[in-house]
Amino acid sequence: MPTTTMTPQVFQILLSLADAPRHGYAIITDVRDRTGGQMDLTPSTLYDALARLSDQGLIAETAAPPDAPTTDSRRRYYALTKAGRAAAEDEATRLARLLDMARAKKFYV
Amino acid sequence: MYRLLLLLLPRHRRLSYGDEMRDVFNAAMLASSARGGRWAAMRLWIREVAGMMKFALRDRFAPRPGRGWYAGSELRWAVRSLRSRGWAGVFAVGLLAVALAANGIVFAAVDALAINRTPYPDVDRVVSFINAREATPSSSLPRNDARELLQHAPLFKQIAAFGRTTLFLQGNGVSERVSVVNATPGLFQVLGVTPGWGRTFSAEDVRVHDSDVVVISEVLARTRFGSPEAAVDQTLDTTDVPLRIVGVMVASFRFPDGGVDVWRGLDFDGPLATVQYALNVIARLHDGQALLVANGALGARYDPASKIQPMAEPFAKDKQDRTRYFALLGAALCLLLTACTNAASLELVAAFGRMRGYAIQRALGASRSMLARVVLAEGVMLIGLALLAGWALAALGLDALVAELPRSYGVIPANPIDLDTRALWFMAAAAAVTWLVIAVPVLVFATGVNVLDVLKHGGRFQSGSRLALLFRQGLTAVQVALAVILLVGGLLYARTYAARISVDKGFDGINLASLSLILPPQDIPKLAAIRSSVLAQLAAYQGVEAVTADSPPPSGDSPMAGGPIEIDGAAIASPDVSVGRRAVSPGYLEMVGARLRSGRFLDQDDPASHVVISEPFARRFWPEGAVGHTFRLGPQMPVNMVVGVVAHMRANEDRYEHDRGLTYTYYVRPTPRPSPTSQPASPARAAPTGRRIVNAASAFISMTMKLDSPARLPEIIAMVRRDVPQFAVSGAMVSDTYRGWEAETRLQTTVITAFGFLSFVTALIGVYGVMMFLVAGRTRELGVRIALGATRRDVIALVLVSASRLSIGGAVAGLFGAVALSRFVEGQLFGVSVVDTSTYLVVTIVVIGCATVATWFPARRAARVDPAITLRSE
Repeated sequence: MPTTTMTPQVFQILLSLADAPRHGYAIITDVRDRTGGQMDLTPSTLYDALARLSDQGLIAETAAPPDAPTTDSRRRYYALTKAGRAAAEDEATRLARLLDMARAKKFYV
Repeated sequence: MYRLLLLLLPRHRRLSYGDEMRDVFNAAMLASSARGGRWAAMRLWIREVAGMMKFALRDRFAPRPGRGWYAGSELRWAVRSLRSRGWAGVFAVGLLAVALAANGIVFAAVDALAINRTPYPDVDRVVSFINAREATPSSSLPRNDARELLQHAPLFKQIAAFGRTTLFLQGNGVSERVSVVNATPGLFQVLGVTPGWGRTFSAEDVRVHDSDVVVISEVLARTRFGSPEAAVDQTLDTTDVPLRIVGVMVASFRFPDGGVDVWRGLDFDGPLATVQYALNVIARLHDGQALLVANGALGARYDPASKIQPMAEPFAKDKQDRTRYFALLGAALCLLLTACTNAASLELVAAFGRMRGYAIQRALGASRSMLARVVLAEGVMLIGLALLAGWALAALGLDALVAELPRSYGVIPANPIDLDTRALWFMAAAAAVTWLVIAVPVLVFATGVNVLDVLKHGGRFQSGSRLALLFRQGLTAVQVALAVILLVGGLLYARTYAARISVDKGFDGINLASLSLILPPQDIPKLAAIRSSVLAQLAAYQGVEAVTADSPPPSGDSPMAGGPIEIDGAAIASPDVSVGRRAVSPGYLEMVGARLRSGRFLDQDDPASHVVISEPFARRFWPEGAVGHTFRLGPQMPVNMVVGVVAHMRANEDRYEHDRGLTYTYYVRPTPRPSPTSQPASPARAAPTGRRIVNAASAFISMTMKLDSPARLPEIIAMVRRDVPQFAVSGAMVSDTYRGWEAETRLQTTVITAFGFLSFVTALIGVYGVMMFLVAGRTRELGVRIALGATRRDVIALVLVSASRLSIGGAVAGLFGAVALSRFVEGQLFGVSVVDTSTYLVVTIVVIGCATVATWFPARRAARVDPAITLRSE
């Protein structure tokens, strides 16, 4: 389990994989759409993060879902592992606590 | 290119993610280009390179259990040493970036204009048909021949016929004349291209839709419909029938050149074919089919007189063009070489500064190969940064070049001038060579450091430093030599340009402007009325001093070459004489400022037999005076009587040869014609279907005006456009037209002079740097000299003399180089000799003078050496 805080990019990637397994380009478009274009991952940033998440066991490669639109063998799908889900939940809890503190100081209503 | 970038990653990462990353990157590039165009794509590239470096560094440097050795230490050392350079590092990167950008830009232009002129997939398999039956074989075939050739389709993989024409588009309140290619459906398949949006037209399309389906260019789609997606399935309004758009070609596709905006489906049985008199036929050979075999088969099946040849001209045919492009590329490479030698010199200084470090590393057990790897890694980073910056600079600079490229280059090239893959590969190759030039001397120096020597003498005594100094002096002399070569080239071109623009035009032409109106075919019957009305309107306009319905000088009617000519009633066989007849309104010659040599101008009452002739014409046949003499151009022609002689108004073709006197002109009043429409070729034809298909022929109205100021022209053009919005109206100052002919020389001059100047400044910095280095290295010696009685003046002279050896040696080598190279550009020079003494002298004096000034500061510093301090520190 990583002890350091997660970067926003890594957290967004985990959020992307929360519902269903996705391939690389789908993660990029999903993150861009959800953040209204504020976070636009480049392939190198994405795969840097995916490589590390995979090394840490937070995500794992999985088979393409049956309704996948493409059969291109180069497209690999990634899914959250249990550890990955737990890490994302921990991060979400940490962020929520942070928000609570900010709210208590009236930074945020 | 992306594959190269992936090489940054460790092998295991590349194997597991490489293909996938490439795939995702391609998708992201497509999306990015669609959203924000070229800039967005470039931004993505830059971000991707930065991201990849981060990924690679993080992956290599991240501490990982169970991994004893990792290849990151060289990189870490390299980064550290690069950062320690400070401004010297920034200077080296900037210099190399500018030189690489210059090379990238020039290569992009030369590649598009000369080397890779037809950029279609497997273009060597595309052939064009030559009509060898005519006296001069040409690729233009009569319609029926083209039609017959298309019946031999099985001989080839694909075959198509096409012809060029024009159309008038309507809408937006203005009429726009566009270049059109009428093509049979196989054209795009022969070229091996597909539309970026929509589809191409099929045989079914052209048959059913009666030649009204088109594929348009991306540029036209964006100007007319906002975006290419929106243009598909829309209708293009023309002065003839509306056309249905089925596809849009990406902007980088150009055929046969960049001037074409519409490709219209052509059916040989349809109405459009009836007005397409000449066509070109091109075909794609079957895989593995040799050109010779195809030629043989064609000869046997079709006609022995016709043959095929590769469509792509592998290289610019014109020798002048080739020389021009190579001169530019050579100048850019010279600049790169100057930058390389300067950077190599700087790198050597940096290596010299780190000599103690190298010695300690070696003493602590670092192998020579480890040191070599660090040096090479440092070079890679330096050049990598320079390449990135150079790429960005080239992208910016290329737009400026394309905007500046003179119109006189004529056609817009089929291969757009852009930083395509080939240009990027060229830049990468140039960078790799640069890297070698820079890294090798440092490598030799760093690995050859004698550990004991350096550590024993505290790094001050250096066995290798003398060699390094000699090497640096050599490099500096090379820089001076290159600067001299470029400056001489720049100056020779500048003098050529000056000589060309100052050649006498033969008329004053002050504030003279031309105006032309192009009429759509259906308005041709109204030509006379339109001409009179526009003429009247212009005559009444304030600021127009005079106007006539004639084209501006120097264009004229076609000359009649050779043949018998009768001079004062006697026939003379004069095959070398080419006489042009030019009908001009009375007052025209006065208006353009023609120079009257003898006699008078034409006036209202002159009969049609009275003419004014050009000076070379008069000189040839009546050296004692031509006025009052007569001539005629053949027994059937009327006799002309000379009433005046004017200076020859030179044209484009004979601008440098006007005094050879082989092109003669005579001016005569226009004879009234039955119809002022001058019988334009079949304005309208009844198509087989009964529907009117308008021929592409359009008519021109040309006018010449004398204005009170050139600033009037735009408002006059705007006014005429407002009045006759259905016509294409354009205008230009006559002086600009003449200057336009010299635009190539001007561009050449600007580029080579700019490169020469940059190279010169670089060389001066090199001289300064090496002299500072030399003075620093000789402090002790100078101290001893001063202690023994040398004056400040002696010391300054000592330094200046050793510097002048460098600059004079370099300049002399440069002069020899310039003389040797100048004969290649001899054909491009005008009004100046390739071995023009004054040019060489000026450049030599300026270079040596400036180099001496650059040495002044190091020399003064040497003179300030305090012998007490220097000797005490020993």
